[in-house]
Parts: sequence; structure tokens; C-alpha cells
Amino acid sequence: MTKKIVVLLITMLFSFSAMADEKITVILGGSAGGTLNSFNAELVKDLEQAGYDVDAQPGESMVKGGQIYSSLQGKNAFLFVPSAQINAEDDLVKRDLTISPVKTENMAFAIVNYKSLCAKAGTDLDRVFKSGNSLKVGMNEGVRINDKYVDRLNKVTKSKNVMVPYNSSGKQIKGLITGDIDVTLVNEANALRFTKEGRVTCNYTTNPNGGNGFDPLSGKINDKWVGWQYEYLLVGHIKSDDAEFTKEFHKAITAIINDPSSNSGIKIAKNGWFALDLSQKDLMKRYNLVFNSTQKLLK
Amino acid sequence: MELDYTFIIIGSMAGIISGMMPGVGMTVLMILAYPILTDLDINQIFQFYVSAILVSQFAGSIVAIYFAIPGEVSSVPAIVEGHAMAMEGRANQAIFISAFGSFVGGVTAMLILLLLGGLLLKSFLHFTTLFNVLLISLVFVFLFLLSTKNRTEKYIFPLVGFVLGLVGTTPHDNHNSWLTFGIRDLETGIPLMGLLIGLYSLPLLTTLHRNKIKETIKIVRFSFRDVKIKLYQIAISVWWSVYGFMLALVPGIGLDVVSNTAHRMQESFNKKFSWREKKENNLLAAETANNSGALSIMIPLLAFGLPTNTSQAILNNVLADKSYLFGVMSFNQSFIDMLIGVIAITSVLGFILAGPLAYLLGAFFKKTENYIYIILGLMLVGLTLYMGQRTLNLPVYATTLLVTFVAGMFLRNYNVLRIIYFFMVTPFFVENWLRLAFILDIL
Repeated sequence: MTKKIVVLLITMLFSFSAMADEKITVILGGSAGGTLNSFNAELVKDLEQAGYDVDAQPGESMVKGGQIYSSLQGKNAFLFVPSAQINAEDDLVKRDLTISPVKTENMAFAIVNYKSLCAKAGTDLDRVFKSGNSLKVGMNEGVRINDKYVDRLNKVTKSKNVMVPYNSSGKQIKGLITGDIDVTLVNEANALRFTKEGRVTCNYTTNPNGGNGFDPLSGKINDKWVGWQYEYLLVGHIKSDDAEFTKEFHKAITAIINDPSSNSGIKIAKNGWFALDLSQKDLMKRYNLVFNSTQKLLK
Repeated sequence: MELDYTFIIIGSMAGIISGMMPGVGMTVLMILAYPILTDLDINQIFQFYVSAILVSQFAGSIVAIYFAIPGEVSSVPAIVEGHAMAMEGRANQAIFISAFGSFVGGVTAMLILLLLGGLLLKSFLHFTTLFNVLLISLVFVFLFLLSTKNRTEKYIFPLVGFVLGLVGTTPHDNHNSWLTFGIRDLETGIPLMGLLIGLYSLPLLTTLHRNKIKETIKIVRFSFRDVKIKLYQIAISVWWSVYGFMLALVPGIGLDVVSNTAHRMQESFNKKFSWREKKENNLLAAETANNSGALSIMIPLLAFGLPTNTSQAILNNVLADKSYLFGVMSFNQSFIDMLIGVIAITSVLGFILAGPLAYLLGAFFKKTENYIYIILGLMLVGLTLYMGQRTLNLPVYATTLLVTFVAGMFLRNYNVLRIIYFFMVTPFFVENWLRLAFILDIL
């Protein structure tokens, strides 16, 4: 209780300093009803409660949202997307970075999440680790990365599994339920939700330490390849002409997301995400780490 | 899914507008509502759409009976029979028969859904990618078999729609795109709003504005004392409800086919059973079948995410943007309960509006007809530009609107909805075919 009161007081403190109706454009990266934007919706509520005058701008997709953020000038703007992954891919194919600028002062907060290996409820998930398989594996990372995962799995287990591409995690789960695919690597928000509903079994996670009740996938498969322990980093980016504003915003939003009773905090717990309580400098380091591991995965 | 009465009422009002405005229908209504729908939650969108489509079937017969113009494509039998009755001084009886038929159609559809809902839930578990591929391919074959004015409509329009539908993010992989020619603004695809309004809505409204009401009758106040229905007509109504529900389940069958076939078959039943109320029975058959079918025609969309007409394709687009997943992921008992609730409310509401209150709506329509299409046209252009500005994609929206409007005016005597339909179902077609190829390890 005391902790909650302290967090509330800190939030209020930052609210008042940020207040006087600080205007901010929140760009909703990702599809309208996707996991990212359902979190953004909660975040907007919290920001408004903290005294910000929020203008929510639909982004339609993560890339489009990134482009909008990068092109906005003369306004306080915020965007929450897996920027390290998107920019790493841009950098590799030598095109302009979708999300820019990415500097220490642009870091607002970050959330880590992982993927989980799932099979239809009632089927044997562990058969994927046996040799001589020809299972259908649903993936949602883009064809370039999808193939790497399944090729690696085939190499480690001496199997001939087949990769089936999807463009949303919901469709991956649907594919499991209808029998199109045998196993899938899906985001933990959906893995947790559909495990709870009894529709799927998800025992393993790309989190190298395990978490959300799942065991580490890299340990189970006994392979140190980067893909089995890949960290998805969702970064909240802030930009403003006023350097002081970005600092204050970082403090206010860090307090919000680390408060388990805030709208965003509740959503973070529900999605099985992990909020990071880091300084802007450390957030930048984390961004660079994931940027590099993504490039390693893509190469 | 809880009932949201606000959106049922708004949907019903919108259904009145779409049903009564000749040629406009659910497609233009959905285009108009598009920017608003993108801000609603999924539950509200469904309740709005289902209410609107059900009530529009009631309302379509009002203008058909009073002014001999088809509010909806399925309202042609209402002109043939209903307007003929009105010309004989029996407009209120025609209005009542039509509203009664639509009411029975809605209630029967609700009962069928109640009985078969559990079966549908189980069957959805087996709708695999292979099933989707077979289904969409059948729909494509069926659409090619449909008679068209000429070869341009038959072959070129689907091809144009198909190519336009491919522009943007690849349907099976969010990380790549096709036919964008390096323009990143095109990665989200050609904006549906600009394409629909430019190619279809504005040319249509221009034509409609020129063709004003030519033939009319005196509209008199409705009174229940002036109308009646016989017992055997209730049985006819139930029969055609079941027929309409079943026929409309077949993907590719439109409500115009449902109501016109019911109308034709009832003509032969009248002869066989020597029924004297021929016009009434024919009207009743058509109106009942199309209202019952208006619900079941949605089932392919709910089961597979496969739209079977343009308004559904727009609905599908809005829902897909919200990451809504059709079939086994969303069609559950709670969804069925919601549908049943909406049907129950709209059936009663539609009956009142298109029955006892029809004379008021008819008189209002007659008075406002001069301005209504101009206002609508301006609203549509404004909405497109607003959507473009809101998504910071104004150049693409404005260009699409301009280019397609020129094309639409040039093609205004053709069925351009064929382009639009193929444009909208192409991602579903390509996504499922590609995924099947991966499943079969061909790619």
C-alpha cells in the first residue's frame, strides 16, 4: 500500500511539473486492434491522467507510424514500436532508418517481451524436439527470419519440418486450432491468453531465463543460437524541441509503466511483458544490443 | 458481447437511409461510415452493420412501393408488385405486407441461428487453409460465370481489381511489399476510401441526381384498420424465410438473386394453389426471403473472413485493420447471442418504421430528394480528404480519388463494383493460396 502511495505521489509530482497541458502527439504504431495499440490506448489514458494534452494519431502500421514520427517537426511526439528490429533491418538493406532520430534523449521507456513455442491443446508439444520430424511450423517474423528458425530447428533435430508464414499472431493460433500447422512460435501475450482458454499448450519461451510459467527454449533445444533466446524490445520514443521536456517525460512515463496499478501496468502484466526501469542512457544501450542481435539474426 | 443499444439505433437509422436512397444502399453507407467505424470497437461495428443491413431491407420497399424506384437491388419485386398495388390505391396494404414479410424473415433467421448456432461453432473448427482456398476459388469461378454486359466487365475488371489489390504489404508476410515502386506511402496499399468513392460513389451520385422521381402516388396516413393478412400467408412467409436463409448461405449469391427467385417461384405457387392474392403473395415471398437472407449472407464472412459483397468487403477491411479474426477465433456463443439480440430489436424497429411510419419517411424522402445526393457527394469527398489528412497520407488519398473519379465517370455505365470486389478479396485469395503452397511445401 505504501509503495502504491509513493508511486502515486511521484506520478502526481511529475504530472504537475509536466502539466499545464503539455501537448503531445502520440502516434499509434501498429494495426488498430493489435497488441501494440491496445497497450497504447491504456498508455494514452495514463498520460491524460498525468496531465498531458494527448493528440492520438493513427499510424496504420509500425512502419507507417515510424515514418509519421520521423517526419513530425516542431511538435512533441511519441511512438512505441519495436524500433531496434525495424531499424536493424533498414540498416542491413541500406535504406533510411524508419524511426529517427534515435539518440539517448529520445528514449522514453522500453518493454521486453518474448515468444513462446505452442501446439494445439491435447497434442504433444515436445515432439518438435525429436529427430526425423516433418511438422508444419507457423512463423510470423517475415520470410527472411522465418526460414532461419526452421532451418536451424531442422539442423538441430535432424528433421524436415516445413515453415508456414503468417502475418499475425492471432492467425497463428487459428492455424494451430484448425490443424493447418503443428507448432508455432507466437508472442507471449497470445500464448498466455489462449493457454488460459485451454486452446493451446505453450511450455517454452525465448526468454533465456524462463518466465510467465514457461521454460527457456534454448535450454530445452540445447542450442545457443541467438534466435532461441531472442529478446523483442518495444521502445517508447520521444522527441521535442525542448530537451527538458523529454527528460521529464522519461521520468513520468517510467513511473507510470512501473506502477502495477496504472492502466498501462495492468496491461503489461496481462501481456506477460517486462517493463524496464532504466535511465535514458541505459535504454540506449539496450536498444543497441537488440539492434545488433537482430542484425546477427538477419545475416 | 453485450448489446449496445446506441449503435443498434444508429445502425437502424443508417439502414433507413441506405434502404430508401435508390442505388445508394449499404455500400455507400459503409463508405460514409468508414471513418467513424475505424474509431469504434468491434462489438459496436458489428451491431451497427447488422442493424443497418436488416433495417435497410425493410426500408428499401418504401421507395419501391411509393415511387417505383429500387432502394436496394433486392427491391425490384417490390416495384413490380408493391407499386402496382399502390397504383390500385392499396399502398398501405403493400407497405404492411412488405414490413410483415421482412419481420417474419428476421424472426425466422433468428430461430434458425438459435437452432444451428452450436453446429456452426463446431464446423468452424474444420475450416482450414485448404477449405478457404477451395471456397475462394469457387467464388472466383462463380463470379466469372455470372453474366456481364461485355468482355471488359467479365475479364478486364477482375484483372484490374486483382492487380490493385496486390499493391502494398504482401498478404502473407508483413515484412515485404509488392508493386509499391519504392513509394513507402503505398506500403499500406491503395486507400480503399479513395478508390470506392472515386470509382463508384461519386459517379453514381451524379447519375442519381439527374434521375429524379418520375412516377409517384398520393401518400396517405397508415392505419391498421386498412390492412390485413391471411393465415396461409403467414405460412408462405415462414417458407420463404427458410428458403432465403439457405440460399443466401451460398457464397456469391446476392440478395437480388434471393428475392427475385422467391418472387418467380411464388408466381408459380399462386397458379398451382389458385391463390387469389397474387401480388400480395409475390411481394411477401420476395421481402421475406431477402430479409432472412440478409443475415445468412453474412455467415461466409463470419466463418472465413470472406466477404460476399462490397459492403461486407468494407466491413471486413475495417475489422481486419483492428486485427479481428473470423471463424473459430471469434464466432462463439456470446457472438451468436449478440446477433440474436440485434435481430430481435431491429425486426421490431424495422416493422414499425417501414410499416406504420412508412408514410412519414416517404413524404420526407420526396421533399429532400433534390439536395440529398449533392450533400452526400460533398460529404464523401470531405471524408476522403479528412481520412487522408488524419493518416498523414493526403497526397495518396487525393490522387486516388481524382484518378479513380475520372475513370469512374468514364466507366459509369459499367458495373465497376466488380473491380472493387476483386480489389478487396484479392488479399484473402493470395494469402490463402500462398499459405497452402507453403503447407504443401511447394514454395
